[in-house]
This record gives sequence, structure tokens and C-alpha cells, in this order.
Amino acid sequence: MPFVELKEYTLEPEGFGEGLLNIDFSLSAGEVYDVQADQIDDATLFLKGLATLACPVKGTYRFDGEYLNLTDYRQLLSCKRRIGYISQHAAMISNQTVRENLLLIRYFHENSLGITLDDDTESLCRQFDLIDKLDQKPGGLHPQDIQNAITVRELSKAADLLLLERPEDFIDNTKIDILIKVLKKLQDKGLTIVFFSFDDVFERAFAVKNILISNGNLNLFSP
Amino acid sequence: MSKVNYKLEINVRLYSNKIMPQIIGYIGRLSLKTVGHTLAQFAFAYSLVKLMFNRPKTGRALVRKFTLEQIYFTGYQALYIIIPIALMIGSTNIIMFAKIPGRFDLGQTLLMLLVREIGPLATALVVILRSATAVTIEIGYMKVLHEIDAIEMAGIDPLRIVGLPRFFGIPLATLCLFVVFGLTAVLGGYVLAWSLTLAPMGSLLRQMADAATLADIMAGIIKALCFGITIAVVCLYRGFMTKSGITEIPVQTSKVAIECFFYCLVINVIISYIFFL
Repeated sequence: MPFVELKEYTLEPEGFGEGLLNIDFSLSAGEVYDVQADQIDDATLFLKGLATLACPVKGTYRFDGEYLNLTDYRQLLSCKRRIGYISQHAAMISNQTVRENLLLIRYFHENSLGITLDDDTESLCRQFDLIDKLDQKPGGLHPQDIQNAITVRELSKAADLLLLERPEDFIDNTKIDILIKVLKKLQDKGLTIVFFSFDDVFERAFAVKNILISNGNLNLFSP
Repeated sequence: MSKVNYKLEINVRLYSNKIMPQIIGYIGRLSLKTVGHTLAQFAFAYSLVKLMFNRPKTGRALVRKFTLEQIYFTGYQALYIIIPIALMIGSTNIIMFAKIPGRFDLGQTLLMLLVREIGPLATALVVILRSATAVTIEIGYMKVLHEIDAIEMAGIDPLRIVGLPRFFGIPLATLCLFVVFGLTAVLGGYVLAWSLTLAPMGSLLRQMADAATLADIMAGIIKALCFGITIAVVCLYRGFMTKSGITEIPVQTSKVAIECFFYCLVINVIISYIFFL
């Protein structure tokens, strides 16, 4: 059974895109897809659709065997929790420190404020030069640090599906190798990845299957 | 009928045929929009109340923390504003009433004025100006800058950790501020008037103490609570409804200030009628 399945999924266009028209798409656990599109906005929209952040005009979304009710945001929360989303649209909560942002999911679901960062997250913070910025609020950080913090948050989320939008624009050039290394490790553990990138190194490192979005239609092909 | 009069009548008829439906249409659309908006606010308040009674075990610590923070921001930090305002209003009224000859029942009038009428409204005004606008801006920014999406992506209902703490915190803080206002206006105002002026105070304080009834105090408390709930619902609703971009935030903020004040006045009238009847 596919892990993610979209049927006749139609999304209204955003920006300069043409939207998505009646697309059918399925994704099995552990697969990696590279998205390409005639219009950047369509690729972004596709990732937003997969992240359940864009409400479709019509169509169904099945996540891990369950049909999602896309009209009620509350019913999407358990699914969203299992999706990592590294994108230009991702944000940090500005009135919380970086540490609180990284621990938000655990604060909430473990119902305790006395939790500390686990070793893996701390190691990621060290690799992304965030360790001495953990007690600062996003407002006081350099935009690059905020993006690094978002990346660490999403990587440490223990997601089943990771969506990446132009990681080369999002992450500092010096950190892209670290990201690839971490993603490779997660991929080996069975993480499903869908990404949209113009970076050859990134594409070469992961691309197994390609998706081309053209005139609102979705075509699958192998490189 | 002359030719000129005939033409004039035709023009008037055409004009009225065009304008009247437009005016009626405008009034109709405006009424529907207002009713729809009010119903949407009630539905939003209902979803918050439902969330309050639906108590899942997850997230309680976080909700408690944010509620305390909200009480601190709306209540404690506003003390520096509410105390001077209460002193000024209280002392001015006490001096004014002390100057009126034949002070029979003046204590009761003064108490009613400060505790039942001016107190809750002045407190609400401070909360609207300080907190309601700030909360609308904060949530508006969170919405526009995708921070609400980030909370959802963490599998957390934003209404629970952003809405609920403010829905608890703002009314509680308003109530506390009202109590501080009442005590400062009556006691502080009396001391200030007594120490700084030569106004004949006589037994005004005793009259006020004798005149104090449970109904007066309850009316003030109920008003303060209702104002707090109304302010919280309106500013949260407007904040969460921000969609199109940064430029919508000032518009929503301005609407919040006016709407909250108007609703508070309406609620004030209704509660006053209920208590006076």
C-alpha cells in the first residue's frame, strides 16, 4: 500500500504557477522523488499540497492508509506531525527561544516543560552552529541561523515524510554537505523524501525518481 | 402640467428608481455582513469554550505557561498604568462629590459610579489599548509569517496554545485589574484628595463603606469578566482572520480597538439594565 496517495488532486494556482489539475500521485515508504517544474510556484505548491498546507479544490489525500479530511485542520494535525517541511514558507515561532522551538513538539506531547534536547538534536545543533544560540529568540538571530534552526527542527522531528524546497537557497553552502550526510542517514532508516532543487550536487546525491510538473499535470520519469 | 415640470418629475422618478434600490441594497448587504461577522465571532467563541472543556492530557503544561505569561503581560504590566488612572479618576470624583452640599447618599452614588460604571469601563479601555491591539498584531504576524503553519506542522492545534491561553489570561487579568482599579480609586483617591486638597471630606469614606452592597460589587465583577471575555474573543478572532498580508494587520488592529470598545459599551448597558431592573 502506498504511504502517500493523491487522487484527482486539484490545487488552485499560486503566484505565477498554473496550479495542479486532477493529479494522481503515490509514494511508497522509503522512496525519494526529485520534483521538477516549468513554473517554480507549481513545484512549491505541490510540496505545500503534500504537506497538507494547501486545501484542494477537489481530490483525495490518503496518508499511511487513511483518507484525510482536508476541510478540518484539526484532523490533519496528527498527519502534519509526521511530515517534515523545509521550505521558504517554514518559520520559527518568534516569541520562543530556539531551544523552545526545537522542543515545542516534545513540550506539548510529553506534557512537560522540564525536557532537555536529546543527543541527536544537540549534535545537529553543533553541526549547524546553533549550540551557542539556543537561548536566543529568532528575532535576534541572523536569517541564516533561523533557516539552520528550521532545518534542525525538521530533521529532528522524527518525520516519516520529509519535503525539501530548494535546500541550496535555504541552507548555507558550507552546510549543504552536512545536510546531505544527515539525509542519507535518515534515508537508510527508511525516510521518504520529496525535494525540489536546482543544485546538481543535491540532485545527484538523491535523485532516484523524477516528477515533472507541466501545465498543471504531473509526469513521472526516471533520470 | 408644463413641459418643464413633466421633465423634472420624470428625472426625479428615474433618479429615485436608481438610487433607492442602491441604498436599500447597500443597507441589506451591510446588515447581512454585520450579522455574518457577529455569528462568526460567536462560533469562534464557541470553539474556544469547547476547547476549554475538551481537556486532552497533552499540552497542559504549555497552555498553563502561556496563560501565566498572558496574565503577566495583560495584568501585571498594566498596573503601572491602571493605578495612576484610578488615582486620578478616584480623587477627582471624590473632590467633586465632597464639594456638593447635603451629602446624603453621595457615598452610594460615588461607589456606584466608581465601582459599577467607570471602573469596569476604564479597565476595559486600558486592556483594549494595551493588550487587545498587541495580541491582534502578534497573532496577525504569526499568521502572515507562517508561524501558525509551523505550529500546525508540529501537530499542535494553534487555537489550543495560542488562542486558549489568551482566552483564559485576558479575562482573568481584566478582573484583577478591575479589583485594583476599584480599591485604588476609592481608597487611594480618598487619601489623595484628603492629603492634597482642603475639600471637606467628612464621613464620605464611611458613607461609601455603608453603601457598599454585594449587588454593586457583583455588577462590577460581572462587567469586568464579560469585558475581558469579549476583548479576548474579538482580538483573537481578528488576529486569526488575518490572511492577505502585513498590510491587513493595521486594519484588523484598528477594527479590534473600535469593535471591543463598542461591544463593551453595549454589554455595559445590558448588565446595568439587568442590575437596575
